[in-house]
Amino acid sequence: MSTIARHLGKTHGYSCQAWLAVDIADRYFASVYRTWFSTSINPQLNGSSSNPLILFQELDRLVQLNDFNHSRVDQLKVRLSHWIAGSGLPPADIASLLAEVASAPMPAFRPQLWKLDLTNIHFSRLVSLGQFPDEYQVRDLIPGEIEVIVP
Amino acid sequence: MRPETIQLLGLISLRTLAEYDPSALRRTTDLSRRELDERIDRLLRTLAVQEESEVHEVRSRLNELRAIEAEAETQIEQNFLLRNLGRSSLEYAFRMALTYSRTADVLPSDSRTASERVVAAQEVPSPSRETEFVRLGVMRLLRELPEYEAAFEYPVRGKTIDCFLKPHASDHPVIFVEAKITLRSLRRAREAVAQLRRAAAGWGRKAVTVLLAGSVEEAVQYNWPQMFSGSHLLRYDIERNDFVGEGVQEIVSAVRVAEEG
Repeated sequence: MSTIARHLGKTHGYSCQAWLAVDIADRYFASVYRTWFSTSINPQLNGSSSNPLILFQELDRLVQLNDFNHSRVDQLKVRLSHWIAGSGLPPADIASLLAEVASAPMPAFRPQLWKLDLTNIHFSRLVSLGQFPDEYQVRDLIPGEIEVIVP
Repeated sequence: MRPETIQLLGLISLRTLAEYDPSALRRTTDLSRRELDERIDRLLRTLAVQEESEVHEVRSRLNELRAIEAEAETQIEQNFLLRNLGRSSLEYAFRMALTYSRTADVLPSDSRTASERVVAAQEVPSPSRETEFVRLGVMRLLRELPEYEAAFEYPVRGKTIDCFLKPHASDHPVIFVEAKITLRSLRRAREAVAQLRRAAAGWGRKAVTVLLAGSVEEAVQYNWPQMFSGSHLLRYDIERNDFVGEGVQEIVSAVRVAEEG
């Protein structure tokens, strides 16, 4: 039972990430990603914000419509800001990144669809988030563990 | 304006989240409520001598947070008030951060193109223990060498090597990895190293060879430096998902030396 694949009985996980989150992780966190995922691309029992397919569809549409007033965009900005504020980055970097999030144009929120190879990830890194039945987190994913299926 | 003030406002927002949505807090940060309080106190102490209006604002928000926690009569009431406080603290942080970024001459980086980090991953419906061992060991190694990507079961000269690590930059050495969950005899070690050397032949100094092993017989460990110098023995403990001994540092050094050469 050493891999997440064995632990969950699934070989792959799926996640939807906004480009800005990935870009910030690449620049400031050495491409180490704090990532939620579900073991199905369209988990029926999860809420919309924890369903990769619905989230992708929704964000993609918002970006195409340039709908910057939508509550999902606000929610994303708040989540990104909380992640940045709670990180160990120096205060000057935190301030710069908060400004970046606040002023980010809609294309910065374009979604990426990720596929995680769970056969490559040690199960000790799995965090069960507990809100929805098929929602997990890995806090230190690296690029080699991810396949970007829709960039 | 000091960036610490902006960070403090962000932390206050996180601190409210710890009360009204602990599950969202866990998604966002590893910090506990107590650690958040400690970080806020520590940052506040650094600002004590800077009695700016922003610092007063931060203090008044902290007082408000404590008052809500102490005085709210129901959970619903408390959650509602804390959510608003968290939200308004973050909005204030955004406003200050934008001002700070303009005055501190910090350029936003939104114009960067999206980085393509697609690494093909093979589907293995039911991996064997050996497959699991090599994959987890290599992924652990990639944490030390993030500039590489892995190709498992890589064909070289008519044989299959367990893993080929290819660098993103052409001046970095390639790495060949063979894996043995148990390495019980010098004979098996010799065979594995011979396989690695065959694979790496022709690359010269631009190749590093690694034998990834779980448990290793003492005689192999003892004789390794004399018998197999030039190849690295890397012991990996799959239960702890970590390496044993100094092998990984030696590999990283060998890679850096090869880069310079």
